[in-house]
Amino acid sequence: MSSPASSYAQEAPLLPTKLRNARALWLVLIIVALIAGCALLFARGSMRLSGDWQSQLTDTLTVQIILDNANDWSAQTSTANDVLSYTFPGVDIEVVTQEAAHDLLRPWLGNTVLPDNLPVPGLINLTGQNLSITEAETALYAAGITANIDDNSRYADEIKGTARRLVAVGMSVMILLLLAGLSVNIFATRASMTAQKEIIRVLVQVGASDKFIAKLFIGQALKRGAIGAAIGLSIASLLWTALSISGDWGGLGWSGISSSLTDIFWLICLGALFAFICAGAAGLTTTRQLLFERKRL
Amino acid sequence: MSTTPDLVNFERVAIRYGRGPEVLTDATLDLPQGSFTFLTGPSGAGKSTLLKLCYLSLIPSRGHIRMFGRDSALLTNPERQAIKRRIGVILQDFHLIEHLSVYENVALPLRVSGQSRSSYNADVVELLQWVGLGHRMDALPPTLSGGEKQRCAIARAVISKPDLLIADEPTGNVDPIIGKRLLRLFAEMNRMGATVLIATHDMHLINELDARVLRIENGRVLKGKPE
Repeated sequence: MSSPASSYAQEAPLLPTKLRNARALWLVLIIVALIAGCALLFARGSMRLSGDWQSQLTDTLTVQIILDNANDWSAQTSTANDVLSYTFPGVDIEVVTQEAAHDLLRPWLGNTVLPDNLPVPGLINLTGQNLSITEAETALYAAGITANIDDNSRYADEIKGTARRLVAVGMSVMILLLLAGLSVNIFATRASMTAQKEIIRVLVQVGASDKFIAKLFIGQALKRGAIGAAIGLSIASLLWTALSISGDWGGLGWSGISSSLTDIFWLICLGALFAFICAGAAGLTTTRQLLFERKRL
Repeated sequence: MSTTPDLVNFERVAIRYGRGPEVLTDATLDLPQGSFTFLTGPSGAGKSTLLKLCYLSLIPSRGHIRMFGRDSALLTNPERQAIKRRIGVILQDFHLIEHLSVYENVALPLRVSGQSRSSYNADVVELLQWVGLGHRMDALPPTLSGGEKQRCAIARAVISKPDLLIADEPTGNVDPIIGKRLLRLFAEMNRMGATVLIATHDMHLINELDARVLRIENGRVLKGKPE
């Protein structure tokens, strides 16, 4: 037989670890964490997608050369190409062919054969950094070319606004779910305190402080919250990985290691917050309930 | 006249539960430090209520209670808890924690007071062997007999060497031999300086010791054995 000192090396938990109806609570916490995680990933995906689109648009200029005569198309676009190449060295310049420019008109004019002498504007797309409308206009004007230049800022602003709304929706859903987690834990702690009334009575009788008793429930809730968050958020990560691989969600999914690692970092932060909320709810509920019980004496 | 300070002092204490009649109407008593007192009286007289007032589990409706020289109504929470740690309580229904082993139940007051396991392990084991539960240290309370539960509750009450030991019918569920042994334990605790207050119906137990006897009649505390 082992000696008593070695037999009782570990202190048993003062609150029972296996409770009836605990499975339902676990399920609720996992689902709340899962949906909160998805909401966070959705918000982060929207931010990332909006950023990608905006950076693509801010690095582009579309030059629309106004022609008086359709026959000038080749000469004017060639001159404009040379001028722009000189003004913005190293920038990617794409001249839209006349056929492609005709095709752009089809949605408005239908599939009818367009006359060759239709003065379709010459279109040149510039992609690169440090593009300036003013510089392009000045250079083209000096070369005798009349052009409208669009830096896509209107679209960029619209995308930014839409992305901001999507992020707000995602974050609101996440906050609502965290509040749901808080409420669930308040309810669970009250139920747990009622179920363990006898244990609390014994602890009070042997001189345990409110802090000591609250710590027991806080520890229990912290563990519950951390495990619930770990499971729920792991499922959310797996779900997001699957969606990213399938490509169904386009830019909302993870495009590489960097974006996935950043999002996983935020998921870990969310998990910690979730566990902290669970523990906080338990601490507040226990302290209030013990105070209430004492006042009732 | 004795100059020993009172550990517990009740002055015209009354208590009622809710809107019911007063269980105690005018209880005045004192427990001098180091005294051994039996409290007796018929069932429903208010013995358990008086004990609850002594271990600060109830607040009186009227009157004053002084515990360890302090007015109980003026105690702050930490003071109240500190005083509770100086009181060992043995109740009729034992109040053992069912998922904890006998060892864990007995060690509870020491654990709550922040002592480390290594510092109390030997004391707990020795006491359990003394009360005849050395072979049941790992057992859970639901598997214990009534007498074993009672001995476990007694061991828990005395493990922290309390200044005041309160027991409600402590020998009610044990055979006479164990009963006498437990009474010897209380007497030993008393000799070591603890003030002991035992509520009991058992006149044999009262007659075993030459101790002070108080009785409750009509909500009052009177001196001497019942007629």
